[in-house]
Amino acid sequence: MGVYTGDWKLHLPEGAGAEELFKSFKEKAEALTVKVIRVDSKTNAEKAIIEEIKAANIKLAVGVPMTLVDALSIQESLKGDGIEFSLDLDRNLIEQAQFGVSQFDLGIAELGTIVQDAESVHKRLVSMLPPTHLAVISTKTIIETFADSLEVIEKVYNGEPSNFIAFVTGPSKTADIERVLTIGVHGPGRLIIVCVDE
Amino acid sequence: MPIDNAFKVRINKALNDSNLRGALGKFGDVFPESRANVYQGIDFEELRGIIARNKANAANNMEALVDQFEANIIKRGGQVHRAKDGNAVFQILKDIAKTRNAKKLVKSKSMASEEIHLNQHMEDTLQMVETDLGEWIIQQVNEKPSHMVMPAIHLSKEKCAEIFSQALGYKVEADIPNMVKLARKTLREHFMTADIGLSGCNIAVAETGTMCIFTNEGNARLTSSLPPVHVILVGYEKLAEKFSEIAPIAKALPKSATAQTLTSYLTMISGPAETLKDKEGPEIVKKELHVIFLDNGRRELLNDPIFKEAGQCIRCCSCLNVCPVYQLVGGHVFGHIYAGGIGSLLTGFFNSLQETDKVQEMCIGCGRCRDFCPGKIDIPNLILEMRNRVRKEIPLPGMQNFIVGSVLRNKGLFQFGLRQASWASAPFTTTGKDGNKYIRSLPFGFKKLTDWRSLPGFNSTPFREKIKSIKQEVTNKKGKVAFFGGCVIDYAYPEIGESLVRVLNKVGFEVVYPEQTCCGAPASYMGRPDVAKEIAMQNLQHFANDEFDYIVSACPTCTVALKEKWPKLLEGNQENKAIADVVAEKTLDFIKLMHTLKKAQGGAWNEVAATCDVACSAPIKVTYHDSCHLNRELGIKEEPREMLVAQSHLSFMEMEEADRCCGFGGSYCIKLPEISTELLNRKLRNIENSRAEVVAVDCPGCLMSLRGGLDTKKSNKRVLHCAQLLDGKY
Ligand code: SF4
Ligand code: SF4
Repeated sequence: MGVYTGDWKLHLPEGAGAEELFKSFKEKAEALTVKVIRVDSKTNAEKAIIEEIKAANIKLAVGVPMTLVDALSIQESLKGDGIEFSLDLDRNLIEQAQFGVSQFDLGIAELGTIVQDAESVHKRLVSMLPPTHLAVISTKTIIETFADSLEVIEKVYNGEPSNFIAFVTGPSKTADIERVLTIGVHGPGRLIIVCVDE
Repeated sequence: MPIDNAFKVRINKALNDSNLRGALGKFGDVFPESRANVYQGIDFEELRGIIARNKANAANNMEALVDQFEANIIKRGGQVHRAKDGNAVFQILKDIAKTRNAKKLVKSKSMASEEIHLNQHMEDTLQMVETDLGEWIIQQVNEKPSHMVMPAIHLSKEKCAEIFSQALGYKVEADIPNMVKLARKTLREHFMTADIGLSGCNIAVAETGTMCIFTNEGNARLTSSLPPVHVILVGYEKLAEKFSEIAPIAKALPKSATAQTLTSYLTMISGPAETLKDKEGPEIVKKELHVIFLDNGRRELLNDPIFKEAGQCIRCCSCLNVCPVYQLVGGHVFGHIYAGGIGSLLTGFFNSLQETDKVQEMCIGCGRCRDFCPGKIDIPNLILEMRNRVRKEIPLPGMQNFIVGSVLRNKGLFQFGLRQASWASAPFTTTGKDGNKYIRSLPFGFKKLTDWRSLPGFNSTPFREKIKSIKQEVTNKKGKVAFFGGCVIDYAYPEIGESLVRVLNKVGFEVVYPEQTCCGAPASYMGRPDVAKEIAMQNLQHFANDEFDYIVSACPTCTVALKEKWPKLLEGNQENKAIADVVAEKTLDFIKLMHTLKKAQGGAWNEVAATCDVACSAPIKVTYHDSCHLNRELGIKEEPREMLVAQSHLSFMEMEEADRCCGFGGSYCIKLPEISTELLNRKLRNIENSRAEVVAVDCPGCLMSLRGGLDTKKSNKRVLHCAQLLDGKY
């Protein structure tokens, strides 16, 4: 038990992260109202995240420790702007936050989907509870198809998938009343994906 | 009790519910197009072939797979229970609640829980909160879902606002985004305080112990993450063998359900992930995970040699969305817990034959659902099988049963009866605008039959007599064709038979009319295969003659009977089955036979037509109505169009929804005239909106229905059988 730290990058199919895969990924995600931002470095990724949080005009954002960006430096920078970026595993605090940031492990080009090993309860709360979610992924982990993603998972976990794997495709939505599509029911109504070329 | 007055009241109530009709109608109209868009570039036949194969394989190995699944979950620290029925589930859940001293349960959508009325049975133990928006809405007013994907599709936003106001204790406006916001807020509180989360699951993979849950709202994620206990209720039919088998279902399900490429969330749970101790933490512990396998008739279904096919269902509901009957009445009438055609099958196993009795009668057998089903299930034919089983336990009421059991079975009595009809109906017969005889009104209890469309006047000389005096001149003779006339042509429209003879003579075939009776379809469709079998036997010998190069029928329902049903009905006896196979092999529907012959001769369609009967200066505008049996059962769609396009006297144009059922359905229009009328009216509107003067058909049943409807509406349009068109009888 515990958080699996297996590296998804080691098990990607050939051609992962290709330019046309990113293009398709962006196109599909944007069609679902997702904002896709591409940056070339860790520093610029942190900058983009800080900007998005500031633009949201809020006092409290939450996040989890990540490898693609340094959450502590984001925290430090936002403090100067009077915004708390909490990395604490505090359920009530996370519930009150207007903005969550977490890292995802894979992107699927044909769908604009992002995939995350969500065994960690912290990751799950941060990505589920606040009305806006910002996901960070490595551009290199964008693969072509859903079927490919299953193969990656089988390899990463050696045939024993992690207890909780989340596939997220666009914002939370419903059409339950008169079939009118409405964004943001139980999950985040706004989804931002920052793709880092690292 | 088959369809009775109380049920008719429910049907009429649904038909008069403009909200329901509006919502289902609009959705039914837009669904096929959005679905087609999202499936673009995907080979649907291949995809559903894979799904059907995988699901069938899982059904065959069900016991081994559930063992393997269980071992995987236990290895991870989860618990697996097997519940025989609803009562067993309640007990398991009560025990879990007791150990935990749990007070509140949040539930994300699970049809299996609806099927066993879980909320109702657990109310004393736990506060049960539905968290899917549609489910929550109907839970407030104690209603059942009317659609398996969109449970509240039958409610208007105004009605929803009333429900919100009542539930929240203050006035809520009928503003959808605002209601959604309020639901988020209200349910978030429940999520934060719930002790148990319960959800269904769409796929349970044995190889890895992985359960997949597809949702758009995100409630399943919260259900599985916030409470410290997660219970997953799984039906045995959700089992899959391999992890890779998730892919084809994930490809088809969202597309077929809501025309999405993928739902917003797909959650894969393979074991108890971590959670915060006692909801709040800070200590992190392993979640308590329970998987309950629900049987409740599923094992019987999956072990049934015929009905196990229904286990290939992935619950996308596209079969409901495209069903012309469901679109009219919704899932509260056409459905029990599970709605529509597939619902009537599942209900027969998960609930009881009694509960599906009336529901299965709603299917008109048009076959549209089958074309869309990603599980490749032959829903209409399985419904006929279900009807057989139901009728064994619950016979038809006296008179109907007498007609099927005695009149249809007895050749002499049957033909006598139809002949009586010709003189009995004579006083009520008048001539319509198109020169044909119609019965516009019948006395006594029969009036209902003519309220909405005129019936054909029965012909005093049936075709079986007429053929005797037809002089067949066959120059350049190529062979002999046996003609299976069928009741409608024989007694109501012998002129179609006469045209058929002339057309076939012209292409070098002599036509013989062997001794024959009804094809057995009416008995089959009324749930009496025993009678249908006897009837098949009565016909069989007369058609098993080496002399015949082909056997032709100009009624697709009869063609289906000869070609597909007889061999199946006679499976029990090897000798008869062998004869039936030969008959089936030689049988072709008229238009297919003409196409086959013309193809062999270089495909010159225009040479077939006789000279025009009327002097026409411009080509006659003609459109085509597809018979359900011809199009979807026999797969004949292009052939008649090719023929019509090639005729120099005709100018062919498609009408809207050409392949939508006209509502005739044989005995269906007598059983459920209120549904038939609605279906027919839609067809008539499409015909009126087309610029065609003539509607070509290949089914005398459709012809009867369309002519009768057009006569009632005083229309100038005419309906002709393709045999008549090829005979130049414009
Ligand atoms: S066959 Fe036609 S009427 Fe019957 S369930 Fe299917 S679509 Fe509905
Ligand atoms: S029967 Fe086929 S179309 Fe209907 S819900 Fe099941 S899978 Fe979907």
